[in-house]
Amino acid sequence: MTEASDEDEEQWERDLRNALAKLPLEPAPRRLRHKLAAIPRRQRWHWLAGWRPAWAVILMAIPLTLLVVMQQQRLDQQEQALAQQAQQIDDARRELALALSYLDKANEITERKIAEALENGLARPVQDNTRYGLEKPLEITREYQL
Amino acid sequence: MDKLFRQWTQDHRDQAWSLARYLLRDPTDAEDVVQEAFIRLWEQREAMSQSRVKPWLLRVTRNLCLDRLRRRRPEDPVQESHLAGDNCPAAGLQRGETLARLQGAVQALDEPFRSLVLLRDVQQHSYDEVAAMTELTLPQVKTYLHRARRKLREQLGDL
Repeated sequence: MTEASDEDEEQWERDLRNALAKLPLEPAPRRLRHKLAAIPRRQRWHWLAGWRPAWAVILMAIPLTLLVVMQQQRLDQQEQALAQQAQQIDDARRELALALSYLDKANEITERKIAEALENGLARPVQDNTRYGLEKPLEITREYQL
Repeated sequence: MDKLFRQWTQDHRDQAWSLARYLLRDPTDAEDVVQEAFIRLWEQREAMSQSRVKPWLLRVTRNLCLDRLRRRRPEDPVQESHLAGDNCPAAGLQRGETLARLQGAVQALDEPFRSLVLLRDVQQHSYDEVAAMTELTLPQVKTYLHRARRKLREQLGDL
């Protein structure tokens, strides 16, 4: 009995496997076949998609960089202009100082000559309030009659 | 390499498709899974050899199917459509009730029994290949197959 049932079971299993082997294998549909055929072509450019965040950053970075560069150039130009102005001011100061030194020298010479003239009796001081001279650059305004 | 990949695609797409259809039932899901499996094959093509392609591809296909099944919520509707039968040009095979019962019974099996029956008994891969595809040992494959066939017998009774 046991042998018979074992044989039955084996036979049943064989029948099952035969039936399963005959189950039709569904071929891949045309749409899938086309998709599979396109894989090499599509995947070649697929790496670009992975770089999307990087492209976005690059696209944003380019105008920002240009803006920064332009701003920097503007700042550099302004700095140059300020430096030029400072130079001009320095030059003007130097010239003014030179001019003042000449005036001081002229004052000294004039005072010396006046003192000499007064000593020699060639001149005497005149008190005259109707005529006014420049108070500057000479500290003492005097009119001298020669 | 393109030529080789095309060759692999032609040789194995039907088996991958068939496996995915049986496991997932939904043809759209099956299409997505097979496409994904072949994309991965493309990415790994340099490291692939002729002998490794089939077991690797079908293993990946199966694993992708199982992932999808796990993600599928019980209430999600499955667009079931008839397997093979109506669309299959493989003539000479008996259709009808027996076929439908058998297909239904196979689909009703749990994993890994369903995969094992499909790979070994339906697609006729060797035991070694089935072991490689399912990441089971050879003894496990044989034991589980035996159990799977018993379950089918319980479901089907007489064919």
